[in-house]
Amino acid sequence: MRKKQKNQGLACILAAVMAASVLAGCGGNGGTASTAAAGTTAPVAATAAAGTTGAGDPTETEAAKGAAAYPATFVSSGTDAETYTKNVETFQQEFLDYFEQTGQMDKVKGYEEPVEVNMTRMYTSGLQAIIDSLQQKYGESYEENRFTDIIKRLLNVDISFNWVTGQSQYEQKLRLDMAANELPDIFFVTAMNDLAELAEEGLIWEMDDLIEQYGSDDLKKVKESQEYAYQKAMIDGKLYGIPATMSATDNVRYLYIREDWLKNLGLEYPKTLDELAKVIEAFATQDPDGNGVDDTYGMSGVSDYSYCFGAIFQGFGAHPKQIYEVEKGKNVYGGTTEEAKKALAYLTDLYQKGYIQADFSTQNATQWREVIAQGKVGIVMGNHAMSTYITDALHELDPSVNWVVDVAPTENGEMNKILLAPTVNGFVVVNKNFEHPEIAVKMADIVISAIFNNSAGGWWYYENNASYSLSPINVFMTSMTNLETYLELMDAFEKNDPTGLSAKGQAYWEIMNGEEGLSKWSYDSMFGEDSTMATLNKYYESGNYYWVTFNGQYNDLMNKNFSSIGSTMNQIFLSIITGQQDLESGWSQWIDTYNKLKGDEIMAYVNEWCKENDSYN
Amino acid sequence: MKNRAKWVRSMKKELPLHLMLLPGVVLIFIFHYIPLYGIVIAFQDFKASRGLFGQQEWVRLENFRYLFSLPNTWSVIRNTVTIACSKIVLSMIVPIFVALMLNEMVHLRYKKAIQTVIYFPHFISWVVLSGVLTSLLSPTSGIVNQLIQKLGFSPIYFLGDNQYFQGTVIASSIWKEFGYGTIVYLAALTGIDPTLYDAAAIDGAGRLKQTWHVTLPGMRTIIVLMMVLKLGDVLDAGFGQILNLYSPVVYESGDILDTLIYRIGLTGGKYGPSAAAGLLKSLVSSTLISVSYWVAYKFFDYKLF
Repeated sequence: MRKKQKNQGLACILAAVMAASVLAGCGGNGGTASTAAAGTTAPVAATAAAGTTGAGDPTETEAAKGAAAYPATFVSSGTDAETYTKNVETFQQEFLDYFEQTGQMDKVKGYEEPVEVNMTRMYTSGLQAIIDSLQQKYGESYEENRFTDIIKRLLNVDISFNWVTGQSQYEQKLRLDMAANELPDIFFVTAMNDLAELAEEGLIWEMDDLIEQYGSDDLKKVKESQEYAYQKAMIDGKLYGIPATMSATDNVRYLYIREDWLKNLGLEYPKTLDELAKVIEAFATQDPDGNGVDDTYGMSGVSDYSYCFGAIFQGFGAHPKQIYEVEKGKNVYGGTTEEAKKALAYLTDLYQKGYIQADFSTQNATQWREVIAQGKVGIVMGNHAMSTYITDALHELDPSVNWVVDVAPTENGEMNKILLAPTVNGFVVVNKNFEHPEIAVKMADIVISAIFNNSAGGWWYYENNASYSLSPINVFMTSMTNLETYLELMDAFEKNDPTGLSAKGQAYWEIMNGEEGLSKWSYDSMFGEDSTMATLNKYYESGNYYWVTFNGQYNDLMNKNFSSIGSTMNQIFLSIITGQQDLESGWSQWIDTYNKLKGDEIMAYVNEWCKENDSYN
Repeated sequence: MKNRAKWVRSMKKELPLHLMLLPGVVLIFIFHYIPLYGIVIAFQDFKASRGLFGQQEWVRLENFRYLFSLPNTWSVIRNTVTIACSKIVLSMIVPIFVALMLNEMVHLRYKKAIQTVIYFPHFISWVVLSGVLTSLLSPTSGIVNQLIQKLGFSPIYFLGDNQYFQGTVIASSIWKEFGYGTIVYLAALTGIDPTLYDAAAIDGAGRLKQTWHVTLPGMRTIIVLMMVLKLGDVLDAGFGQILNLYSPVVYESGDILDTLIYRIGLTGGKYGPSAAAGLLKSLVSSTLISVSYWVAYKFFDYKLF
């Protein structure tokens, strides 16, 4: 009896502990939630206060301060701390001098009392490696680095990050914040429909006046030259974010071929698509690597056919995933054109003959990269960034391997037009509850000045062509930035003199004159002689390019159906290429679905938008 | 008065048990009952920025209509049912069969070794396993296809051909889980009274007859229990597995409700239709589980509650 009681007591305690731990778990969560809430409600309260006294005019809370800096809180500590300190101080001095001289000092004035800004951070796959190297060199980290340092020194603004997350999760996490009403002060919105929703719900600041008042002359110049990008941030005629523009040439597809294989088989870089088919066949069947084993494919790739077979589509004049103008004022969805169908027929034929790796569509990018590095393919398509893929195979394993790139083959052997797509990565927006919305513009001023007029800007923004990804405000590029940098570099190489290079050019010059290594090789193949950019220049110089003209917001129908149209197309196109569906029946099924999902109505809206905004090639 | 005293006494005796139950109940309440509120999203034009409790626009059945206007919704439902049903049936039959075989094994150490080996894949997550499967089944470099080619057949594209994808999914899932399922049945086997076998032997029953007349009836309760529990998963075709194995080429045969919900809701940000699809799935599942329970109760005299 006593023993039983004792057991019961033990069980009671056990149960109590279990219950307590559950409750403690909840308590813990509650705790963090409330701190997060406190973090975001503080500025709300502050706005309310400001609203009652200063009628919401943010300038009144600023200190009238001249060209002076604020004490830094970050102390560099790595192996190369001296370089850091020197560069940051140069940057700071030149920045202040420049704004003083051009009489714009009041646009980038700092704050007497430190201002706290909550932001978010998206990291890309390469960021961790960059952080590791910068951490070692200068002691920088996600939270404290050259960007937060300069912003603190120039503006007396302390940046903190509510959360840090990977690219693929960013949208989801931001939407959670939207739903929980816990948006950060200044943040980056990647999806256009999120931007529209935030604007329509009145959750973010309108930026027209802010840019007018606080934007530096350089920022305004960028804004003028990037009209299309700013159009994407317009909702009902008002500007709601600063777009992070990407180079418009990232969509161009190139054809890279292994030169040593061509030589082995006595072939030449193809001019027409028929010639290309012959090269592919030869690479697949005639043992181009000369090892006596049939171990090569004509082509490999990933499920994104418009990328890994992109040069073929482009050669036929098709751009499956784009909306573009076929004649003045008439836009089409690229996947519905006859050109796309021709390209599909071409690919289906190659696949059927076994020249394309059978399981290309279930591979991921890493596996594709392995196939390239193992020397199993000699033909690779993609944008200029593919240079990093092929250089892995190029020099690390076998220095004799050489890849060539040139104008992609076409049906009749004449150069055809490439499509330039103005691309926006996302938008920097400001929470309506944040009382210093101008800080976003001031940060943009700082970044832009680093790109355009600061001798330390190349180091600060483009070190190893990577440091910019640490910036809390995203990249600003002109639409032709890569081509411009190439031309600049060619000039500098000819003169053997880097003075006068832009910040980006400086950084690339350093890399290309630096130690032998993967990044030097890939930059040589992107920006050197006979490089990808040289190819781009051939198109550009001869005027063989046109622009995507639709830069408007999606309407309701588009928001609803456009992604379904895209995914249906991908599904059907892949099953046509891999021969699971024959071309004719697959094609008519796709056109049926396109019509059912009201593709024509969407195109009518697109045409209407282009007419209203006078956006033609 | 007497009843009350009795209740108090029994309560006192069972109090520790109730306390031990409490954490589970609390967790279920927090993570399963409170989120039920989210069902409202299925009937709203949900805008994340207005919040879960904010002023949302009600759209009646618009989200469901949208869902069925999508080109592949029906094939998705068909795939879900096919894959899930095959999995349910096979995941009953295979473990029972294996358990019976293991039970007949004389060599104890060998039996234990087999049991451990087949149990092991259960612990590997689909994220890892899908990588392994992709390279094993690759038509160009995979060992399986090399074997097939050595035997003189042309390679089969298991993960990229709509003809084979469902089969591959089902077989790999059974392969991963049958060892785990076997354990339950082995446990049930140990509960059968050995004297019954002796009696059957005296009556002249051989091994097969003994299995049929003694072993299987002895396992009946547990088989029915497992079946009832499994039927609740009739629309669960295995989200983690399929998400990791499929690609756009095999959407036609491999896309299931859960992956569709994931793509619409989390990737596409359309919460309304996504919640509608989830709700639909729950409704069908709960109907099926009620029916199956009723069947079990009616025909096998099985009571869970």
